[in-house]
Amino acid sequence: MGGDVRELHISHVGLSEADLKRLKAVMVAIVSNGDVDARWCMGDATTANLVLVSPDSDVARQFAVDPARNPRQVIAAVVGESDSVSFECEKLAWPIRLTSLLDLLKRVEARASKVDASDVPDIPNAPADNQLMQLARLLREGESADDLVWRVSGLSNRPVYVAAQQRSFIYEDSLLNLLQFDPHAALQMEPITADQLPPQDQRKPIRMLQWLIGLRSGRIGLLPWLKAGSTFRLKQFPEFQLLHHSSEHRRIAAALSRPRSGIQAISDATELSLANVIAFVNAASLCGYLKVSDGGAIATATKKPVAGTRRALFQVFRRALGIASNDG
Amino acid sequence: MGAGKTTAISAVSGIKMVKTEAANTDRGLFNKATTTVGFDYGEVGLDAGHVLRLYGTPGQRRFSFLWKIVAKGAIGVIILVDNSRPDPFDDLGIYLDNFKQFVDIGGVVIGVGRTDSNPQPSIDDYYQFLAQRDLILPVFAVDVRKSEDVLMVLDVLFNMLEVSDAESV
Repeated sequence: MGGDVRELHISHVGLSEADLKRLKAVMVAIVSNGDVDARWCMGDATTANLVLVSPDSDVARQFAVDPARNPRQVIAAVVGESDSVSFECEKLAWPIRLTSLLDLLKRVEARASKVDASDVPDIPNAPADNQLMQLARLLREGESADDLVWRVSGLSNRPVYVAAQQRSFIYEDSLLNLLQFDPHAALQMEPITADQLPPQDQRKPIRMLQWLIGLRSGRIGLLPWLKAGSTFRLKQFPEFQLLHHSSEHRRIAAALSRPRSGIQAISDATELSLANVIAFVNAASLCGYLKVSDGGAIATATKKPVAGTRRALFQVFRRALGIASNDG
Repeated sequence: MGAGKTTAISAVSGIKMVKTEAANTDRGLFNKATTTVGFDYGEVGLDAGHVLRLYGTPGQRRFSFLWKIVAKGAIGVIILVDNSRPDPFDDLGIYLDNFKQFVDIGGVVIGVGRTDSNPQPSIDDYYQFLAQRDLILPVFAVDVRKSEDVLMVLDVLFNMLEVSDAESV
């Protein structure tokens, strides 16, 4: 990226060949007319600023509701005027026209400018009275002093049963449904008796729930007991073979194999957004993977250029092996 | 021995693997018919005709002279530990000592196999073992028959090496 012109990326998931062709043609027209302020390029869906999705595509729906997705991305569903969309997103009228796409690009440009302005690391803690934070406290590793089982309603259509001391939970549906909940939603948490529990054979390790709740809570800020300026280091790596995660999470985990002074330092070391880092730190804290200390700043590496290192080589390895890329 | 090195390389190799399996004469230690006695070798084709080479080395201590040979030119190490062994920590300690140059830069990932049938020691126990050596290295329970497990371990290794690179610039 050079000069003063900001570079933004647009991508797509699940669009038909015809829509894709049309999108490219309209983008060429917009760019050559000079109607936009930023330099818009086609990019990878995991890192693009704007992702156009087809609501009819399972892959696109999955992508749109993925809690590991960068929350700063704008997702726009390409739909008919009167069609509704089952997930939270912008809409772009089908068929894609120059004026409607231009409006959308302008909105994304405006939002990207605001995000840049707020990028100065004033990292908020989530309000302690938020109900999701109360659930987080219940799930927090080592916090359960009693052997109560809790029924938690409001995360999805079905309740979640949490047996914190037994390190398990029961959810009688696909966990994918738990990836979509609104972190501001009203939750009800009530203790229940053993005879009110669904069949025990559906129990899952509680870390799967802790991880999901932690990732999702990142949307409202750091967990109340964490401080953005603390020193963070992993005690152990997340059980990636068990947990829903992205390549960014592997990258943050590797960075946290060494102590890092503050959330911003993690973001610098990984070149990932603060939102991504906060989500990971919350999830790792809830699962008990994280060691946090508030002593004086320790000498951790500051951001260094990675050009000239073997990053490019590892990206070649990843492509050849079919591993999702960190860099898109 | 028996941790699944040959299987792990097979899971991601783009070519038919070169195996050096021979009859296992250590059946008292581990009951399997064959074991690796030289290098297992697999390849992953890259752009422009380049090749990522994957080597598996025999696990028995008497083959430790081979470990040094294969470590020359390697960029990182995945240590596969068999959790059904009488003392997997002893095995792990030997490997950590012998691949110290990779441990020091964080270029090591530990995969623990056969945890389904042998849940103890737990993965948490492995982290405690590493903590006693003041080490934080990734440890995962892996099923090396599953290519996604092998790829996950490889990707974590790449990430660990990227972190190491970025901080040694």
